[in-house]
Amino acid sequence: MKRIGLTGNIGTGKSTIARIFEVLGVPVYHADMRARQLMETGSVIAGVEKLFGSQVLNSSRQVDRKALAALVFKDKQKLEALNNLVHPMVEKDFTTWCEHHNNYPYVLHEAAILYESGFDRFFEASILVVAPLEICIRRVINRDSVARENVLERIENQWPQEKKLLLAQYVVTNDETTLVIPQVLRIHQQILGS
Amino acid sequence: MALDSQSEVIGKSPNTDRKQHRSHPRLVVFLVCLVISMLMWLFIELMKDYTDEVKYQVSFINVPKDLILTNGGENQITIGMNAQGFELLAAKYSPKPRILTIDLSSLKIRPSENGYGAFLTSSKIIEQLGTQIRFQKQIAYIKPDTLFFRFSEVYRKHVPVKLNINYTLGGQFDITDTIGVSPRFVTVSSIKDIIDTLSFVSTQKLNLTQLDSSISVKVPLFKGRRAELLKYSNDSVTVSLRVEKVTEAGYTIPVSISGNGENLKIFPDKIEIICRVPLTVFPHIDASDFSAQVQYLPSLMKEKRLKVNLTRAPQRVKVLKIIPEEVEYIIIAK
Repeated sequence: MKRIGLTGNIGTGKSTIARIFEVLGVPVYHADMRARQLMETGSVIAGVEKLFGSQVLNSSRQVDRKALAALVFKDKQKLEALNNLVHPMVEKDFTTWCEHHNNYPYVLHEAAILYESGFDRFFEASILVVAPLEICIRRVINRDSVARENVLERIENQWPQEKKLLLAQYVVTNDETTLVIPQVLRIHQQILGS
Repeated sequence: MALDSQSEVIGKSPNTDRKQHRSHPRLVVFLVCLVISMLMWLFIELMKDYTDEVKYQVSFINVPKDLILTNGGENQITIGMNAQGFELLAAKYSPKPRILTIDLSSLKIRPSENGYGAFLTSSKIIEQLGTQIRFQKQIAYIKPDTLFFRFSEVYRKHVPVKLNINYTLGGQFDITDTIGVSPRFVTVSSIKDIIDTLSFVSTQKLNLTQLDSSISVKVPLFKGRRAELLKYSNDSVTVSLRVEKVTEAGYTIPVSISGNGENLKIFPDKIEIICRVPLTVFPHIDASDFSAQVQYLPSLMKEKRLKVNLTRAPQRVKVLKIIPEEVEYIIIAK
């Protein structure tokens, strides 16, 4: 079974592309969603509190995601510390998940910061979803009801698209003009045939 | 020498002026007398009786019910009258419009080739005009001496009012509701030819600039070149525009599939809606106030994309853009 990474900067439409693969019968591990679930486990909560203090926990002693995001997105060191705490747990969780899906020709691992976290080293190939910057910004503003400045701040914490293009084996252009399903089908066929 | 000659000149001057002054009163008296004599002459002349022509506009009232006057354009008559010069002068050069009214209620109308016809002789016209012209002397003649009338049957039609409007808005302001036109329909009475080809009635052009508040204005209905043949149930309509301060907002909403589309998967399954929202309602609106749908029709399945239709949106919200307007799809074989 092949392990394929699926990534793209914020607002590029990774989730839509992942959904198409799912419809084609490919199991998709949604790393960001899974990480959010893992953040609710006792060991991660304790680790987060140790790193950033009780200010990032709410009254029911759960991680206050908004407070945590506000803290780490402005401080690269804190972001790195959080990633060092969460990523090994996601890695372990993904390995377990793969064991449950080893009867499939390949599985996808969808993550926003696949290259930045160095997680791409675990995969045979990676698919990069790209979109024009302004489209990405507009999508995030409407989806998350956040200000443009906040979106730009989040984009700055990710690698530029050009840098990621050098590392990706497959690219899907999701610019609202080019059809994406034929691109996904082509990649799907290539992965199955490789 | 120089002084002498100056004094000589100065010495002569008063004598010359005195001579001129002496001659001026005579001229003034002469002119005054001339003017008075002319005025008296004019007065005497204007006291005399003259015969002259005065043109009058005529309007026709009490047109028989269910008939329309089709030659209403012939609405000028010339009256030759014997009157004092003063009276004629006043009649010809009065700043007030000279309009006489002719009552058509007593006309004897007979069927003719092109509808109905009737006429009014000068004696009948003089009967009606006598009370309207405040002259002591009599009317000598009327041109034309007989007025001919052509009538046509009245046809009626209920037609919509089409607003002819041109407006500009102040910064950050927009029209947040349908432009109100009251009444939206009018009944038009006219001849058959006009009624048969009439599908709407336009308003006169309404120009509004830099609107920054709601407004309600009365606008006359347009009649055009054949105005005399058209009669509207209302001569004007009230136009109302709701103008409010607005803001641009974006919402992400899911797209549903109508019809028998269980095997249809669409991508993306959420769309963005960019719209203009009045500031007063902005806090009360969220994504759940909108609905979008694609239609599952086997005939459409040849297309590469399906059109997204916005099926529900809050009132007073102007949807500017739907992104994407079309979605891709996959049909899963059972």
